[in-house]
This record gives sequence, C-alpha cells and structure tokens, in this order.
Amino acid sequence: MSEKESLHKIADAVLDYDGDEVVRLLRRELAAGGNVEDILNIGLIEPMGDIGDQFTDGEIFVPEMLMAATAMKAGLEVLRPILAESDAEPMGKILLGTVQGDLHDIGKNLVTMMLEGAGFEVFDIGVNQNPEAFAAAVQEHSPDIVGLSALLTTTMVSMRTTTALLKEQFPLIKVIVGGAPVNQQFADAIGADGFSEDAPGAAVLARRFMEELAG
Amino acid sequence: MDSKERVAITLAHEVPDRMPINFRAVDAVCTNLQQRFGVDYEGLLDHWNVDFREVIPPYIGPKLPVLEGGVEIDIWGVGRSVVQHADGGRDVMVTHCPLADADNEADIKNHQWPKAEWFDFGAVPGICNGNSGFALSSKGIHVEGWHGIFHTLTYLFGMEKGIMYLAARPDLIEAATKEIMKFFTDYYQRLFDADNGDIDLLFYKDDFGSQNNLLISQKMVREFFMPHTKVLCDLCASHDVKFVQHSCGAVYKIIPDFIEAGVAVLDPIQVTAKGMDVTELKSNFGADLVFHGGIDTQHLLPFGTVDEVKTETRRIIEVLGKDGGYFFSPAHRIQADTPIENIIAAYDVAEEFL
Repeated sequence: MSEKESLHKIADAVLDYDGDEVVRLLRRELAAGGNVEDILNIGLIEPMGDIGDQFTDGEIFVPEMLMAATAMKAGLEVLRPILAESDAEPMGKILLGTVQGDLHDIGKNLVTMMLEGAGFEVFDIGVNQNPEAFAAAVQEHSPDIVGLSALLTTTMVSMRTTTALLKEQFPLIKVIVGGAPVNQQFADAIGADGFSEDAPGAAVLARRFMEELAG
Repeated sequence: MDSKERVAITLAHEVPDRMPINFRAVDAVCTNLQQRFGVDYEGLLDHWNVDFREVIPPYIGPKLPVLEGGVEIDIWGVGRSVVQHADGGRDVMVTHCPLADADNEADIKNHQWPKAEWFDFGAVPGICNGNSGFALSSKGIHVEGWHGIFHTLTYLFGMEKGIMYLAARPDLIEAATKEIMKFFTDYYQRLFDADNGDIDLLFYKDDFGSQNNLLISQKMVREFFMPHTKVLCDLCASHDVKFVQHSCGAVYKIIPDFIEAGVAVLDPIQVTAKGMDVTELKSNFGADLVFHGGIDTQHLLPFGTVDEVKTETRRIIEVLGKDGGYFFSPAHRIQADTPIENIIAAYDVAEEFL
C-alpha cells in the first residue's frame, strides 16, 4: 500500500465516523515513519472538509457531523504531542465565544469542531462572555481571528459592543460572527469582517482570512 | 360565541366569528405591558382578547434539590444554573446532565425518573372551572412548558451527546425515550382523566429545525420521534384533545410526517427560517393543519418599524388566516429587547380582524 493510500484509509475512517479505526490506522502510519503533517492534512483535515460540504448540502445533519468530528478529534489527540514537538504551524489561531447574555453553545461548539478539523488552533472561552473578557482572552492568546456566537436577538447588541471593543484595541484582528438571528447585513452594520450561516462556512471563511493575512 | 367555541370551530377547519388570538412573552415584557395598561397578567390577556388559558397541575412531589453553586434540579434530575444579567434579566443554563456518563441500559433504568403522581391532578377541575369559556391547553402555550423527547434527551445526556447518540448509541436513546414516554403518557392520561373533558390542546415542544435545515435527518425524525408523537396524538384523540406540535426552525420537509402522526396544530411558524414560506405552508398543509404563530420575533418585532410590523402582521393574518385555520400569536415568546410599540402595533392589527 502506498503512503498516500494508507492516509486515505484514515480519511475513510473519519468519513465512517470510526474513531477507534482512525487511531489504529494513524498509529500504524506513525510507526511506519509517516510524515505527521501529511497524516494531519490528508488523513484528518481533508475528510472534515468533505463532511462540511455534506452538511452544507444537506446530505448529513448534526449527529453525523458530531460523530465525524469526534473521530477526527480522536486522531488529533494522538497527533497533538507530535505536532507540538515538530515545527509544524497550525493553519491559524482563532478565539471563539458566545457573547454576553447568551448561554447557547451548540452552534459555537460545532464551529469549534469544524475549525479544528480545518487545522486551526482554537481557544474556546465559553458562553456569556462580556466584551472585556474577549479582549483579555485576545491579549492572552493572540489569535488571528475572533468568532462571536449568539442565538438570541437580545444579545446581538453585545456582538456589536464586543466587535467595537476588539476593533479598537486590536485593529488588525479579524472578527467573524454567526448564529441564528445574524446575517451578512448585520455583520456589515456592526463592522465585523465576516459572517457565515453554518459551521462549515465558518471554517471556509477562516481559511480565506488566513490567506488574506498571509498575503 | 366564547373563546372555547371559537377555537373548536377553527380546529374543525371551519370559520369562526373571528380569528382566535394568543399572546406569549418573557416575564420582563409581560411586566412592561402590564404597567403600560395598568392591569395584572390576566388583565393583559383580556386586554388583547386572548382566547387561550393553561391548565398546570401543581407540583406536589419530593422536594427538588439545589446542588452546590445554586444548581436547581428539575423533575428529570437535570440541573440548571441561574445566570443574572447586567440588565437585571435572568436566564438559566443546563449545567448538570444526569445521564452524561451513562453507558448501558442499566444506567438508564437506574436513573430516578419523574412520576406523574408528583402532580396534583385533583386540582385540575378547579383550574378548568376557573377558566370556563376559554380554550384550555396543557402547560406550554404561554409559559415554558414540558419539553418533548428530543429536547429532554439533550438535557439528560448533554446537548452534544443527546444529538450524537441518535447515530452513535441508539440503544441508550431508545432506553431513555421509553422512560420519558412512560412519564408523558401517564401524565397526560391523568390530566385528561381529571379535566372532565375541558382541556382542548396538548402543547408539545421539540425543536427539529435550525435556521437553515433540519437538525437531524428526516429518517431519524421518523425512526426516533414520530412513533411516539403518534402515541401521544392517539391519546389526545381518545380524549377529544388536539395535539399542538411546536418546532422552531426550518421544518417544512417533515410537516407531512407530523400530519401523518396526527398533529392538528403547528407552532410557531418561524418565517425567517429557510423554506418556511407562509403561502406555501397554507396552500400545501392548510387543509390538514391549523397554524399557531407566524409573527416574527427574530427580526420584525425587535427591529422592525411600527409600519413594517403592521404591514407584515396584516400579510401573515391574511395568508395564514384565509378561511380560518389560524391562531394569531408571536412566533416565540416575545423577547425583552422588543419595543413595546411594536408589540402593540401587532395586536392593533389583530384587533382589526376582530
């Protein structure tokens, strides 16, 4: 079996939602001297991109996306210590949280999974976070992008104040927003850099911003 | 014609003297409106000619514990923490999921499940009599009601496990669903036995839709949920009660499944979700369903102008209410950020149709 073929088998196990098989194949690949970045990119990131497409196209739904992400994460946990020792850089760093007044987190958690699946290092600061907490966390983690989540209409105002504070304190940072009541028009109005209507879209958007930042 | 007859005629897909009206809002909004009109809550419902009232048997079960850190345990053993907001508002979030670590059917069986006898059904006739002439619903048409099986699973197992286990651990889902249904069927059987035939609606709340799509596949809706919906609809039918299915989000695709199970009323008609076009809904499902809701709480009521509220409210009533078949209501409990003038504008338009 060529190396590429064995990497695709890892990807297939992610697409089959089989975390145990992902870990088994991945360990075998590492033992055979496989390149850790290839394993990450072809074995884990590529299939999560496919999963994102399937979700956006309505072929799969939240349970299947969660299962794929769980399988991917099982593999990522094995790779993490090795990646930390290597000079491999993550795709980018992103900080996520649900804004003040809002306690909903399933949307944010799906975005976290899709971003991890896209190779990002993700700092999730949880729910009900005020603008100052976002700013302090940005200071601490120096992310490239900040993602703000909300479900309630009542907390959209908190998105606005958080975006304003972040833009004031960290003019270079990209701010993206998402959640049921939010749309592109609102994102534009509050001065956010981007909006996505679903979790896979957030990963695509974040990648595009990383390319822009690199360019 | 009283409210009860008006609602009954609508449920029979005939045209009553006027469109039945409902109202629902979070506490802060109710308080503001009560102050504005100088009335109490009941007075507010009267002010807007609300045709519905709720029948909620008092809880008389074992004292529900409060865990360290103020985590309030409910009848399912699910714990919620109270979060105080800077603006004085209050909200709760699930912070204790009793089946989070469940790994086999014994773990499910051994959980302390709620019992119908924890509720005082002896009080039901008195509550019904006190609301004579109104259309009566089980808990949920005004206040936060019982959650359906899907919601309850996500609280018991935790949001992610509750959803993922539908695919990954159907054995656990089925075992827990069996216990949830034991409570629901027992509770509603006792409620309908106690009410002397007075209760008209069972309000059942689950959310199968996100803003853009179903949360779970239609196949899963059919496999895990519709058979139980049918059991509850059949229970309703044998007591001359109509079943109200609440589901937020983009659920157009599964409406035929609801109808097949026996659902009579669809709530809340989230018009901002993908595919939830009122004209399509009315023309394709109006013969089978009565619609409840439709006045958008996501954009229109909180952010629209008074004129926009009036125009859109009129459109919704004219489409969904054509030849009857519509209960006027906001598409969710109105949230605290909603300008009072917009709420009044929507109900002013409703009044035009009286």
